[in-house]
Amino acid sequence: MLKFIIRRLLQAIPTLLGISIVVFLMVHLAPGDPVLIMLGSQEQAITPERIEELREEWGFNDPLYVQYWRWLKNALRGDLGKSIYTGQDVFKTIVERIPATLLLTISSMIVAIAISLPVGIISAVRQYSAWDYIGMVGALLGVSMPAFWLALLSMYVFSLKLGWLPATGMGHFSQGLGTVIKHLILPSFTLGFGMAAMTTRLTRSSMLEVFRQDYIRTAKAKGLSEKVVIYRHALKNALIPIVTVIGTQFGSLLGGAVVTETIFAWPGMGRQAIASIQRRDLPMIQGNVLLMCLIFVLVNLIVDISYTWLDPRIRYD
Amino acid sequence: MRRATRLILIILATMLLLIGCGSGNQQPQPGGSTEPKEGGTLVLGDSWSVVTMDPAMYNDDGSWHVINNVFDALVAHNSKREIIPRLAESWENPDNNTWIFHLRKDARWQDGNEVFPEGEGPEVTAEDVKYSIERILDPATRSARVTLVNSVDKVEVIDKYTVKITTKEPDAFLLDNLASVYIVNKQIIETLGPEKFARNPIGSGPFKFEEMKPDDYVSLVRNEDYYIKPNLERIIIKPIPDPNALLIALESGDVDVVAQVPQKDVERIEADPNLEVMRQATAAYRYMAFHCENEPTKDPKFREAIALAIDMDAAVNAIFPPGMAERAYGPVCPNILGYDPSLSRYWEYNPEKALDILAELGYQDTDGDGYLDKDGKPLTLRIIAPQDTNRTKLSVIVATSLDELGIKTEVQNLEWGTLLSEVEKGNFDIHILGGYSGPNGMLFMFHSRNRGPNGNSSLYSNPEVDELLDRAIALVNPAEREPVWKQAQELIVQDKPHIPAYHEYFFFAYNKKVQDYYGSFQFVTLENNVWLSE
Repeated sequence: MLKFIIRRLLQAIPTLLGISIVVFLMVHLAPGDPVLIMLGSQEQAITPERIEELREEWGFNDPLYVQYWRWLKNALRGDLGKSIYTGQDVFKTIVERIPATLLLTISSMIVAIAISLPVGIISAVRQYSAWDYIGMVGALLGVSMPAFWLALLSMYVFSLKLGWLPATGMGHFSQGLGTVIKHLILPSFTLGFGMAAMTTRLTRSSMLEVFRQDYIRTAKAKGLSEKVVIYRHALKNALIPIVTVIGTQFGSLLGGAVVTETIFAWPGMGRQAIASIQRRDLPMIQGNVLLMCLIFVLVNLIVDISYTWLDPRIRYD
Repeated sequence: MRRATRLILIILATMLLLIGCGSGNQQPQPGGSTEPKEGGTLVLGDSWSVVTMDPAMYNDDGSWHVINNVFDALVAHNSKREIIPRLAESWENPDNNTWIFHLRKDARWQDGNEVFPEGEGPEVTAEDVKYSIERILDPATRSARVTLVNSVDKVEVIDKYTVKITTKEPDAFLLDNLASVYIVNKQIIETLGPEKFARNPIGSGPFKFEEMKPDDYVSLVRNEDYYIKPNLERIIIKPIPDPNALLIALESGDVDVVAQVPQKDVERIEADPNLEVMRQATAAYRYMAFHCENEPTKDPKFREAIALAIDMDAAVNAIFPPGMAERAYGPVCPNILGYDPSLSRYWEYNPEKALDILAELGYQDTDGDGYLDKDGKPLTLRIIAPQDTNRTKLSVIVATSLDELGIKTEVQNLEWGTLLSEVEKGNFDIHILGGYSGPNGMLFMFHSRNRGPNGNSSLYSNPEVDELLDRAIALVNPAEREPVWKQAQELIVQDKPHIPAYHEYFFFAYNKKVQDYYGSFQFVTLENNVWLSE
């Protein structure tokens, strides 16, 4: 198992390297000049000479491969550089925001699982019943609703009209866990709902498939109660595709967090990523994408390891 | 099944009922007393996050909103954008190159921190003013504020409370600029180091920096030793980038004040009995600019024809609800020295005349396809514009008007960074831009030495205008400056490097419990001291 983990972590290196090259090229080839954007809000004009001077200072005039190599050399030493906009250390800035993003994505995942597993199981067990239809219509709604719309709608209802929950921000742990949870409900529901919709449909179909297997018939024939058949025999076998999808969905949650964080003013990495893209703050964009990928790679590793628990036939040695 | 349906119906009905009740809860608050009350926390919802809190380094609104409360400047702007005293009690300029500021004797540096223990905050002195300006001017600081004090030759300390600033040449805008030059203390910066100082600033302003969680909030607490004791106990600044979310936060009472209410929402917010809307004193100037060095737009005649083809009055009325913007006839905004509505005489809507001028210039529809051409080539103009709603609408209206006249257009609404790059490369015939056109706005939009994407983006050059603008900068007395400034403006309007579109107002909205507030990011000045009635 340890060998497997080490191998997988080593495999992540070329992935991250490839991603860093792609992101680097994308940012450089896209139009937009960080120097102009940074100077854009000046109250007085800046001479073209000063613009040129700043470009030279930040090395934007060097050939792309020179710029990339410079970035990579530093990154390998653990130095992701300084933001060209704020002058602050990129690694420090992003790491400060990781806990907020992880809190949001993990709780969204919990929301998604808490909705999708029971609804999917009920829909499968009571196929073609009213519950099944309600569940599937709900899933269809969840897939179709854009996150920003659901976010604003839920804010309108629960913050403005009912006054139950705060509309924006994260609250602070010093104000008590309750405050943070209150702030967390709307964004994690918004983000988790779309994922729940997809997972519900998958749970349903996966469960239906397992129900047709011989070992379920055997279990039923042995006279086991429905509960035991569903939870011990069917669900555990149906879980492998579900867990796989949940793992990959984590990536889209991180991506979706970009929108959700911006609307709910959640102080996470996603918002930072958006701001740095708008400013063409290259070191910050690179750092953000790299760390998001790293998180994604780690989550997938955890998913792979979880297979061994779900299906003892799977071995990684 | 029936049970399930019933359950769902009951849940839905309860929700609807609660929503109904929710809206009924919003009752007008009882009128508060007029006697200012001390205490309370004001929450400001901001569209921007803080980038740095070092007054020499900031170049963005989010940072400014914090810096302006933690630090003091020599002077300030009041609600009408007039200059009022702040750290400087009074000032004089014996000649056009000399400014002498007399500082207050009761201003102290904030204490109770790692630099100055409680009760040991020293006085703010002329030395501090000298250090602050020289720090900005020092190339090693790489200050983003350097253009504000570029004209300064030297800063001398006359005595503890008197400082003399000498400029290289007369600078009419120095005083305005000094309202954004915040005074810092050498000992504080050297003790903390610039990086820590930018995150944990210590100033001499009405509020002390308390704590910041990046992108989440900044909290400021009252500076008890400030020469005007602030009524507010604490200010929390929350960055909320989404404008809809920002308004919901205001309406639900999560925040007390927001700046930049979108014009489409002003009416709705005004109707809320708990909220008050206030128009900002100054407007932002929005315009269409021609490429003044490329064919065909470099010809003033051609530019005049395009101006004649666009019904800008109708465009402004179509884009904005009444009262949200004013038709612009020149680049100087209302409330700014040199504003001249009589320039309307240079603008008319007359497509026939436009066609005549274009025909004179050789543009005619020779092949009968409905579009003008010259030397066998159709006349096509590339228009680039930003993606905000108002300017997107303007770009569409302009393109439609030109199309009706027989000019093909290619319109692109570009993301901000891309737009600036395209402007710099000169990839346009017309671009739609705009910005804060302050007292010296014309200088950087039209002086030929400021040609470039961040200033004179139309690459306009007229030696006569340059000369007038240079002359105006040297006229420190506003009464003497105004006619020269107006003359330059008139020449510009005649040359038409821009077609001025509109002066767009922005709106602050705030909860009615916020008192003595005039819509700014300053909560304690000589003229007001914000307090909360509940």
